[in-house]
Amino acid sequence: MPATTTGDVAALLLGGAEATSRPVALSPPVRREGAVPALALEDFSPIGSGAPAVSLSIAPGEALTLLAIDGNGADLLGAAVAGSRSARGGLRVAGRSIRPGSCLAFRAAGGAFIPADRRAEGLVAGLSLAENLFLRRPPGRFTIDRAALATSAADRLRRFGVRASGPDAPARELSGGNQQKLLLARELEPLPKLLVAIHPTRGLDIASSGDVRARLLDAARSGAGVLVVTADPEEAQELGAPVRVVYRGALSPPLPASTSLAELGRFMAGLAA
Amino acid sequence: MKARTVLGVAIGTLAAAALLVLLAGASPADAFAALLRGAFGSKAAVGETAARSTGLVLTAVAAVVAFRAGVLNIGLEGQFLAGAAAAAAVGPLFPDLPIAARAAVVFAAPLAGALQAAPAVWLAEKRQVPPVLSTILLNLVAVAGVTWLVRGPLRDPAGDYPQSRALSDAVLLSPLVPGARATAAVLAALGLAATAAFLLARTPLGLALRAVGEAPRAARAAGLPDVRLRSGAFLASGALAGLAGGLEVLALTGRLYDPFSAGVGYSGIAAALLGGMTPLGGAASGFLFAALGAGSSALQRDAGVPSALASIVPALAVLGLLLARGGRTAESSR
Repeated sequence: MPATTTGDVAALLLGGAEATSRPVALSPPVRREGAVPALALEDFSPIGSGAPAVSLSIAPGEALTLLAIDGNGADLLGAAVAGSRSARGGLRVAGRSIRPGSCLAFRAAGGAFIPADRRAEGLVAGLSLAENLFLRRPPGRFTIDRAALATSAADRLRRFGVRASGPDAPARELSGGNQQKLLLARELEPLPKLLVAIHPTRGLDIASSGDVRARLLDAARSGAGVLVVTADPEEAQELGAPVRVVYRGALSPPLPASTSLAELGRFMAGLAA
Repeated sequence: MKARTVLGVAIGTLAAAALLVLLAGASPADAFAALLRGAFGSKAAVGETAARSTGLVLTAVAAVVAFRAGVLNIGLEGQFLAGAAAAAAVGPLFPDLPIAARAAVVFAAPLAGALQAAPAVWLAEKRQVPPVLSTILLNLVAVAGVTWLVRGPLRDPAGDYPQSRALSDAVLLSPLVPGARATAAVLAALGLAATAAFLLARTPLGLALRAVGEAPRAARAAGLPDVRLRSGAFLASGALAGLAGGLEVLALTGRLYDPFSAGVGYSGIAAALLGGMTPLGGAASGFLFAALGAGSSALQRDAGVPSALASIVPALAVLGLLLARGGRTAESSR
């Protein structure tokens, strides 16, 4: 077996030669004024978090990054928006007022969700990739059209760059990065009105992380509202979207993505006024 | 489930059964021949096996439907009894209108089974009470309910025994083939097993049910109506077990008595486990259990082996399977 140098290992971790440089800084999405907000929160707070109620709004085509150290309620807030945690307050997705705590209502209003725990809350490990992609609406009217399911799944797996033995492989066989790409393939087609993504690149290699971020921003550019929750200030910078830091459940004013790491860090630690 | 596992369990079970036969002082070959004769040796034997399989096949399918949606329905026995009691209550209402009486039974028995399951559904979804616990307790309620019914409201005033009025002969299902006990109820059970298999594997509803059963949180987050799917499967499971009880009365016993069931509901769970939690596998295992039951009297009569041995065999098979599978799970998670 040939000796592997530290440089080789680093290149492997970075996901191959084509991705050894930092991901290209992505231009911020264009805001479309006057449209019905993709997301509007009014005095909204997850139940049981003890956090103050927050109000915010995201326009179609706009992305917003919620940046926080774990435990400050940013992921609770994201999960509550997606209906996966109970909450109180006003919640409107694409202009439709929905009852907090209902994933069903969130989806019906055009919401999509990338949860923090992709193994437990994202994918159904025992089902095939194709079945995971078409959980809600498999092709066919009364019975599943298996040929159509296989071809459209294979097509989507290819376009989203999911590396797998085929659409019939069980989802549990995928690596973390490919699981996340599979989730994106499910959540971004058809294009949602609002996408909530919590720690979308946590635990992924650098190439996959860059790919996931690019897909999130693509969705915003195509007209979806995008809410990203992250604990990584560099990720917040790379996303290029306005950043609001969450500290003990309260939101900072919007900060530009170009804010320095030191300044973001001060907000995250609760040291900024 | 791997074919090797199944083969290993089958060989192990047969070896253990042979050992038990030797301990009982008989020849395993004779015992096996007697068992086969008793289960399949004649028209009457095949009819007996088929007749016994009705309840086992239906309760096995019922167990599978609930389990695949993530519900451990241990209450099949109680739901079976509820269905039988409903059949005994409505069956004698139309002694001269066989079609109406049969329709009433086929309508009332699944309804009673679903109603018997309903408290457990409510407790599970609204109060987070595990169905394993609630359904076991509801079984006790159902057993006591049967005891009360046959001595109280349903008691046959003409008879001395605590049993319900008999359905008239015109209402009882007649054998498919003269001289064999099997009726159209067997075909209904097999048809429902096939329907359940198709539904689970090939329809959007089946996919949604499997998703909810496999990963409830992921299914919910993906926007599937998880509570409705789980509750629906639970109620459907109860309805299938209730239908099994109703058909038992309509096809075989003609009335309710006490004790009515020798644990069909529990055997159905065992059959579902042995069948790999698939409707067709469960149905096949249910049929196998029925054959063992039908063959057991010949076992005692012809080979001098206690008939109870035949009921030990399925238990051994299920235990062996759990042992094999449990070992494999530990291996893969290491």
